Amino acid sequence: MVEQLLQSLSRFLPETTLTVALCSTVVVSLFLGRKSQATLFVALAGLVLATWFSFDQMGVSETIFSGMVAVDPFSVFFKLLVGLSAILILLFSLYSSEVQSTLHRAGEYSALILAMALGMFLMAGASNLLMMVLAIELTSLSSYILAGYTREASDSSEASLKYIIYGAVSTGVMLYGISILYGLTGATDFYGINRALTEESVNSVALLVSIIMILVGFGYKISAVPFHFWTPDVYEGAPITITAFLSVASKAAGFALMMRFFKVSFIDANAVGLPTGVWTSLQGFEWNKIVAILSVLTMTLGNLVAVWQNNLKRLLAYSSIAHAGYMLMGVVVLSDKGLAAVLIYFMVYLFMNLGAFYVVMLVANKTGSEDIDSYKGLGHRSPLVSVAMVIFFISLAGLPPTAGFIGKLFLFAALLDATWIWLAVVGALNSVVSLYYYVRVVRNMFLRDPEGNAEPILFSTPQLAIVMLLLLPTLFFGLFYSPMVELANASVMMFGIR
Amino acid sequence: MILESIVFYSLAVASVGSALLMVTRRNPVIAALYLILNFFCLAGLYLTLQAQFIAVIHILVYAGAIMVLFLFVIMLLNLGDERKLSDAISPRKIIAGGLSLALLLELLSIFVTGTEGLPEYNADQALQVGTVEYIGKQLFTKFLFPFEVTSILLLAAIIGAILLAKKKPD
Amino acid sequence: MELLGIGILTWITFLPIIGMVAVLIVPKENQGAVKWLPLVITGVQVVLAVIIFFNFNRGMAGINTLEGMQFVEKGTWIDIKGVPWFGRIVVEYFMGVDGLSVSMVLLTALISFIAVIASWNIEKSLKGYMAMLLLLDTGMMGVFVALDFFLFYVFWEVMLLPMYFLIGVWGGPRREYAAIKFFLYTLLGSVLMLLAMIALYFSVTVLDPSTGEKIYTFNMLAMMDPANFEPGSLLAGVGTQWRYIAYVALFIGFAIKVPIFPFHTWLPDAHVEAPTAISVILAGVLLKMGTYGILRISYPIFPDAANYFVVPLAILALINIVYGALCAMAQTDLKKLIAYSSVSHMGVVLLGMAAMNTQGMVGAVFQMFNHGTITAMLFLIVGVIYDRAHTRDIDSFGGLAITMPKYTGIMTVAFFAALGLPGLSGFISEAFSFLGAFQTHRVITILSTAGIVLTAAYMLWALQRMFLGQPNEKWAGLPDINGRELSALVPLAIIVIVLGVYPGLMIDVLTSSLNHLVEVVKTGAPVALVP
Repeated sequence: MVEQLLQSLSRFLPETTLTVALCSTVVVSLFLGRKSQATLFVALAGLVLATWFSFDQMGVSETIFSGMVAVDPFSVFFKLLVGLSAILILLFSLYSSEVQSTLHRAGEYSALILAMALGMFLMAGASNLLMMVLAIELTSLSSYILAGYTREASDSSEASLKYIIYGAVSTGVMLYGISILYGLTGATDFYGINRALTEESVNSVALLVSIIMILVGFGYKISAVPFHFWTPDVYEGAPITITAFLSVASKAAGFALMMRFFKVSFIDANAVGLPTGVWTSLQGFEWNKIVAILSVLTMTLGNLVAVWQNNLKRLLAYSSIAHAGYMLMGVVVLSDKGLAAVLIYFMVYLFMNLGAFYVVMLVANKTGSEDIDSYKGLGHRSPLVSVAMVIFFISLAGLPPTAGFIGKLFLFAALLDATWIWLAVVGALNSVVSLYYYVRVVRNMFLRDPEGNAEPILFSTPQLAIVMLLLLPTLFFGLFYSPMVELANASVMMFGIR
Repeated sequence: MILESIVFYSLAVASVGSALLMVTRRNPVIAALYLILNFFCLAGLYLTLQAQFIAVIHILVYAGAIMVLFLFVIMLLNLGDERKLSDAISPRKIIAGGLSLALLLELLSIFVTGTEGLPEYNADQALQVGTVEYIGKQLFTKFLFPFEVTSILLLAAIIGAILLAKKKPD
Repeated sequence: MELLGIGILTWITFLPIIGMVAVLIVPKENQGAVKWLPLVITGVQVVLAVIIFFNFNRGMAGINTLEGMQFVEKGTWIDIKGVPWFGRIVVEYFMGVDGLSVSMVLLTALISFIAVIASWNIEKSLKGYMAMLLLLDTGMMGVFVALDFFLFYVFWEVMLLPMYFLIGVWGGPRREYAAIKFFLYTLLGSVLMLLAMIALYFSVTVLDPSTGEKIYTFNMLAMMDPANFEPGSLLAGVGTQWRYIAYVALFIGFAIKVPIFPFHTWLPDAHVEAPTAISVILAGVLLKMGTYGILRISYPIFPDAANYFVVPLAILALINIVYGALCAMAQTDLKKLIAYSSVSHMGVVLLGMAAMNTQGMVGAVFQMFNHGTITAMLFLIVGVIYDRAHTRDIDSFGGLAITMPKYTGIMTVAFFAALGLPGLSGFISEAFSFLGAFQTHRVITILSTAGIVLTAAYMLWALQRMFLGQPNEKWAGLPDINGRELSALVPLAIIVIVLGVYPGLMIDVLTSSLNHLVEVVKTGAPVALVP
């Protein structure tokens, strides 16, 4: 037992690092405390190390701690994604006026970001229902508090409260579903569920009810319609850094967990090894049809409502809902191609969405407003940042030659390959709608003249360097996407499935 | 067997009854007391399932600690009788009611039809599972990891609580 | 043909990008450099295009054979070593020209050069304007030389954003509306095209010569060979439902660009609001991409569907011709009149394409080239008068022939070319199109000729109202056309006259390729469907 634990611990280095960093931030803020960025740097160091250690785990495929957590290419991929976005978020924080004006709480801020990252790392690997709930809870709890972090205003508190209530309800429903699933299969680990479902048939109504209930929990985490109500308010009320983090990392972790849960538990493990990479559901249970409906609802509602938004954070919130809808299409097709497409989309989404949020943050720092109207004439006041924003938006809309196009291309490719043609058409039409609201912002930046203050806005070199850090991959991967696709292809492998 | 059935049904009726009474009471203190009664009934049900540990923990944690906290809060806030918030039957309520009813029917259908095919556990195993010793062993071997993760979860919660507490006086 | 080890097609395509970077680097104060740089770049582009045009071997057909393509550049762009379930993903950097595209390459270079001259008076953020214009140039050129569908699609989409800005920032009063309308319409078309492209990708395989494994491909030429379609794949077979659906999806994508009724509503807005140079590019090059796409992609890849839908296409052509002409007749805004005349003239192109014979097709492509030059002239002419009078209302002018004689002269050439006067290039191409179409769609062609009468009517009527009759006192002091404006118009007028007198110069280039295209379309369809 002890050897097994030690063996597991050696594979648990990234998470251990995060835990150590988490405790260190608490201690550091106790001694260096007040008005110091020290804790941010401690957190940054911890995250860089943890990401590096995750990188080191590439190619490993095993489960640790008696099957609680899987360390496999799939989880490593998401750990890298979460780690990278957390690093970027902390870099953003160094230049965020919201964080810098509340430096006396920076210790708690860093600690909670680390706790959130840790929760997401666990979500990426969790392969047991118990771990699944714990990881979700750890992530959610930290994000509840960070969502209400800075502003004293009522919108922040309202956002936080809404978040908690929705979170509690959806977790409750999910737990109920889990208990039914446990009752049906007698197992809490995904592999055990798979075995039980392979060996004997279970009541299909019960299975359906439990899956729908569990989907509520996932839907909340990835903000899929109709579990999205918290998203716009929380995104608007939370500090921009946290909003950006929630929109990318939290969503990624939710998808990772969902895809692992479905693929490991409900896919015929004997048939999945076929060279075509097409999955077969156990017991003919077509859970992907439910996901298809969710996907259509999510992207359509997200895009249509985004058209009416005048606050850029809200607009990006709805756009992130729509993007969750696109990515759900990749889950629907039940194939490794679809899974790889989702992974590719997340890589792209990391750069373009964080980029868009970062520009919003920089502009809000200077103008104090996130309103679309405050972007009028920005193209003349700050050309470089505005051009970067245009490219991020074009990428979000999915136009070549940006990386966003590659993401969409592979999603549609997976759909058409599996002849889900109607869904592909819905997705394609949705991306046309999405262009409209992205272009509204572009229009204000370049086609309108500045209202009132037309002074140029200047940014410091490191601030612009971070813009470039996000902009260059967005363009580069649009033209040369081989590394991205190769990484995704290698990362679809989950432990025990193939 | 008959005795077991009698105990089960009387506890079941008592727990449902106390739950209903709890929801319908106007006075929060009385409602809280009914909730405690409900917890005791549930603990009794756990005992009939040979789950002594859970039964005891349930009473200690829920009926003991959490309910006491609840009562304190209610008394400190000095809540009076709850006013009726709204009487009108809104479409939202109808939809909510319909969905709850659908869920109830689904669950009933599962319980009525779906008992075959469920894994069987014999009583000996159940007896063993319910003991403190067994749970302790499991918790510190197989489930050690989730147990430790819970501690981090609590750490995050404490940090959060500090943050919330510090927020006001700024 | 190579320069510095880089193929001439790459040069001609990416030269504007180099120019764009250079323009962005030049300091804002140096207005002269910001203007001259694009002029030199596009000038070099014209020289390259002329070199390509005259070195082009007119006997080689191209279309669906690699051997028949000229100036070919073929390299691997993306090569993702496959996992078993995804296969190897190969995207080629594959460019080449045949008779169909070489005329369009020449047109694009020419029109871009003219557009830079026409942009000389732009004052608002000149740097941004020139950068966008050059980016647009690359996109346009790329579309006409790409032979890999993926590459084609990337170029196709690259044009959207610069066009949005060019209309939206430098356009007329309703520029925002026109720009977003153009953007959304075109994107709607291109996402449908994207889906069709992906469906084709998963249906067509080629053998990799080095390893002998089957790989999916975006290569257009491979897609044109029915033997390359994987049995059982979505688009395999002949005349299947999915092939028709894919054809229609592609067709809508191209039809929006042409624009074919009922997808034409973006065009009057975009043309009217765009600055002169951009109207020239829109009418001169962008509209041709739609018809080029149908000829390059839809026809040879889906010959069965092309034959199946040939009558609807002819009917759409008829609607375009007559409806466009009627709309033009009702306009009082000169620019809008010309915009609708484009709808009408593109209808002639469609009619020629629907003919499915060499005569009609040659007429269609020749008409594409001629319409490009003639409409460019017309929009430049509108620009000249608008710069002076700040109005385009036809009825407010009168007797301009007295105050602006040189202007009137060149305008008459353009108007007569547009209405198809013999001796000018427009006549030849329209005659070919109608003659070709008459053999296959007799009734529709006869009805379409009404369009010619209507065109003559509105053109002459506009000419009369503006230039003849009593001079309007208000415009007595208008200066005549100046040297810069003439330098943009005269080359086009020369081309129009030369091609009118000696059409063989262009037709010789087109014939063998289009002859082969007709064969491909005819043989690729089941016998029963060929009319």
